Amino acid sequence: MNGRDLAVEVLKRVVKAAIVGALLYAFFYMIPLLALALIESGFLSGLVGGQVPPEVVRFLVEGLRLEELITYTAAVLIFFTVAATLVEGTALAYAFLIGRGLAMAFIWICVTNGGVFSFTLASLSGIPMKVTVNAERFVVALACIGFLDMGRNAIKAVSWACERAGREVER
Amino acid sequence: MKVAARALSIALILLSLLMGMLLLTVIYSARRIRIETPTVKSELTDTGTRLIMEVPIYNEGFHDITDVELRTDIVVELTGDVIATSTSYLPMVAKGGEGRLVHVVEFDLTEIARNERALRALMLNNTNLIVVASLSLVYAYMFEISLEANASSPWGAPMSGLVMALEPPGPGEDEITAVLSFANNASFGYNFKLEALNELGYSLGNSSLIYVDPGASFEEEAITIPINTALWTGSGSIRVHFFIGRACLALEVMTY
Repeated sequence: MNGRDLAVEVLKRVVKAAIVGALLYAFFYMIPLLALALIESGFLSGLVGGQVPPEVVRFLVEGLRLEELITYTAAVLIFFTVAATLVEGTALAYAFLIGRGLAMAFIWICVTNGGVFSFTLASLSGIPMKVTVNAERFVVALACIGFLDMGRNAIKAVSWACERAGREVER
Repeated sequence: MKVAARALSIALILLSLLMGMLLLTVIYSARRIRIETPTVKSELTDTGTRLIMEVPIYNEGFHDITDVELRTDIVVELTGDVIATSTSYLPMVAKGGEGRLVHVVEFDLTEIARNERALRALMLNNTNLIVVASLSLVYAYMFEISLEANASSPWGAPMSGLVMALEPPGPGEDEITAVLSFANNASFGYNFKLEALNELGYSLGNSSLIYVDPGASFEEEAITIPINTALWTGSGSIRVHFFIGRACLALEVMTY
């Protein structure tokens, strides 16, 4: 591969990674944050058949810490996917994809406090109410999806290595 | 190996879709659960009051509600003692169905009398009774939700601000005179009598029964207690016996 071909290949990868990154940014960061802002502003009330109670909005924003969750998930997803796209066709790409699965599982567990959310409703008939939602099972299921992604990428890496070794032997 | 990777990819997509759908339907369905204002019936028992609450729960969502548990604790604010605890349980409210959680709160004076500190606080001090209610349930077999709320209501003591002075028996006398000042801030009337005991705990005698109206106050009211002088040792204690409804409570209020 001469210098020109190398530059073209690098440019191709950079453009591809940029497009993938931009799409992920839009779908996993911009749109969810926009939806959250719309929920907070009450704009989506009509769509869900009536006014969203302020307690529910507070639960989504403060209880579930959705903004943090969206930010961290998007950051991990974009970083690892863009990195894997840049080094596509190498063992490093699979390492990044395996790392993405692990990081996603870790983020889901940490940011959601292990799936236990607690917050206080300001007033319900004048009485403050402490609400605790234990979504451990759900978060474990989400973490399992992350681990499954890791497993899938590990299998892909082994398969890729086997194919490469086969090609080397044939040569 | 490629087949395995492909199968895992499909499983991942399906799982992600499943979890997303579950989350969406849970959020949507949770809005369709109605817990209506409970109907409350109260009835007097021999030794207190019983509150029977019926909480109708309408589950119009897509998921079952299971393990609904309502627990109420009544706490004396002054001492922190729990004087009544009750728990009720509803195994399931199926999707599209309704359930009724029947919760019985028993306020039993004889039960309270077992805790002397709480009894003393309730009989002699105006305080607050804090009702701690906690409702827990499992939604869609995956989300455990618990709600906890506190509400306090004022409690007026039957012998609020009790001040007692004692005149011991003179030579040749066989009665003690207790001078009492207090207010009945409770919402109920009651009878009481005083009992004098010597330092060994033997009863010296009882006063006659006195009725106190709700809201009544006693200002330096002299009450005589006829005593058995043979048991008089010069020191001991005075006990008040309250008769509220059919409950009888005893409380030591002073030593001499």
